[in-house]
Amino acid sequence: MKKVIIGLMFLGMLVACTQDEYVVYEPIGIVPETLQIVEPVGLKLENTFVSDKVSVNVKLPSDGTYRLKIKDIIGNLVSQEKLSAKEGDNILSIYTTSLEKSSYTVELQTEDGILLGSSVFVMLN
Amino acid sequence: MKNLLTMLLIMVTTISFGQDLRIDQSIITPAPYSVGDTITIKFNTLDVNSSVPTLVQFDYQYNNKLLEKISHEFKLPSNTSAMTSLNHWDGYSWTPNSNVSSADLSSQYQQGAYGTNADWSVERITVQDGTPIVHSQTIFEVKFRIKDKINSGYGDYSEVTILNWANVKDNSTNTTYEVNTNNRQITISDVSGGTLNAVTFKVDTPISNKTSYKYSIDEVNNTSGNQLIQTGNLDASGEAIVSGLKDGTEYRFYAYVAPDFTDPQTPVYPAWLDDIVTISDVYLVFNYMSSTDIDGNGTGTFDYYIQKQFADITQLQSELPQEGQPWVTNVNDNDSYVFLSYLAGTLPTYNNQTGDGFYPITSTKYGSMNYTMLSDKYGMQTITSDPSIFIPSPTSTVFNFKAGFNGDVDLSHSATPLTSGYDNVGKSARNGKVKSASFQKVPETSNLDINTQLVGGKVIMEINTTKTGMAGAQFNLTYDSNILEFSEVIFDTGNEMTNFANHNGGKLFIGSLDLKGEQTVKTGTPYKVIFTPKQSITNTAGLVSFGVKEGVKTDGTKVKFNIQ
Repeated sequence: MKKVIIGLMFLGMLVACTQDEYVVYEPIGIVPETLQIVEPVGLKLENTFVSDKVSVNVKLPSDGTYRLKIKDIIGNLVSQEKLSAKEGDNILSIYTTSLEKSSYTVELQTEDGILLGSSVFVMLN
Repeated sequence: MKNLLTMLLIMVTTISFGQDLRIDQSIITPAPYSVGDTITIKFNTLDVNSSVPTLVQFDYQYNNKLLEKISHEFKLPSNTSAMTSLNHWDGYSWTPNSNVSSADLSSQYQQGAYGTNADWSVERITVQDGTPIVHSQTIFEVKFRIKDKINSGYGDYSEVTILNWANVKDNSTNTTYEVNTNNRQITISDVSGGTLNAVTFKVDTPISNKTSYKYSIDEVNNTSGNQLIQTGNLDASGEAIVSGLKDGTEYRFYAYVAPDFTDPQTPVYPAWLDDIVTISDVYLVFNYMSSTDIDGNGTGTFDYYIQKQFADITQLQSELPQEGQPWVTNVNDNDSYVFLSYLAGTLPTYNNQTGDGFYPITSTKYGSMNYTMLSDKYGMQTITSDPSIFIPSPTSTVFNFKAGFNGDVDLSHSATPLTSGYDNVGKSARNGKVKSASFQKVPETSNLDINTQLVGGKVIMEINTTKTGMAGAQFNLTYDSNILEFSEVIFDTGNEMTNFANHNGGKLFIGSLDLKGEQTVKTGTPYKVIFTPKQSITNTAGLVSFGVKEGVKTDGTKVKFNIQ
């Protein structure tokens, strides 16, 4: 009987661990006010002025693979991420430490190159 | 009812009501003007429809052939806590979207495009505050010196500054405003005077950030030594206007890219110096060395004599030219392998205190190896006088120079000489049956896919290309070393290629070269770079940025990659 109880407790601990993992990876549905997008799709930066990173909301029409492109003044691509994301709001980060201090345009595109949103940011000196 | 209210709210924030405000630019310095005068231009907003912007961002450009920027100042008397920023670029001009009025600045935002144009400089002004930015008060003032239009290519001073676009918002309500202007361009009239009391130096250099160049003028004195009398920075068009020089006196002019000496023990050179010597330079040197004489010296040919000078990097420092005199060049195997070792990062450690391990390769490591000469003497094999000396007079007030960098064999960042520069002996040698290290100055362009992804907890950067016929390729990457740790590069370039990965701090130079120019880089994914995050990240945007991205074909033509 004692062994059965210990076995049940161990099983319960395992189940609890699985549940914790599930909670951690469940998407968070709350979008901060500064990142809310009223349009069905788009991109919004938390701030125009950026030091080392800035939060960005990419609102997508469907699950899939998209591109986040960072371009310089003349439109040259200086950094690019290929990302898989879900339909709706996705709160991500734009890291800027590897970029030269300047102003850039960040663009959200589909894999086919269709522009879904863009915004200009300025790096603080 | 709730849905209806929500819909109405959305409509209020998204429907435009026409013009909300204007951006105004004007000269506050009264006319008339003379060449050399300083003028001040101010920018402010003017309200039209009860707008309350908390973000004001706009681009304007100025003609750097006609105006030299002196300084700028943010004013904002009622927004003293506002965040402000000015970004500056030389060598670009704006082409408005022709489908909308160029004076409709908010509609032009992200609709037009910038293209290269050496005559123009662009400035981006950004102001953000927690309270509305007050209208009709000066946001920003900029001072310019009026330049002489002689030899500028412009007949008058019309449209010397132009407003390009504006992005104005109330961040608190997510409202984007319609912005127009009644003063898109500024024209200066009544400009008198000329260069009677000013000497103009025009330095031909293909680099875009010409203000990186400092200049110095020495008065030549062969007995007591030259004396420095003027120094400063070139302006955005690569020019300097100097007054106070004496008629008939001998002077020496030289220009150079100076380091930041904030820490005198460790001078910091601009990062773009590392873009100068690349795989295409190295390939040209190996190509040149593919034929040699009995002593092992290269007998190939370069299109310009100055390329041979720039390739000769293993001379002893004591043999380098003094006072701007050209040097006798001798390119050999040592040069080609030092070039390759430089890219691969395998040269001995350079001690900038003792000079040990020094090579005159223009880079952030060794510094800027500058070469400035009067245009008609730049890159000439035979010169009988100091190529940087000039004598001003009332009839000689404009002097043209050309500038280049040692190691820049493909002249990517150096001026092209007026002629090949070879003397008669050199010309004869060029007619021999030797392999030419000739090159096309205009590079080919090819599309390329470079991207980063977060895969299995690692940041993977893949370089995918379909370009065939490349004897070499190089990619300079910068990554956020606070967040990423470089792990490895997986090369799939072909069995015969010499691959390199030069890793230093947050910089990574990777590439390949076939020393004989017979094998080519495999298409597909020749390079895969793997980084390990040092902290938890959700995505990778901006963690790795791309600098140099180029290839070289077996015939020496440079390939510029256009990343898709």
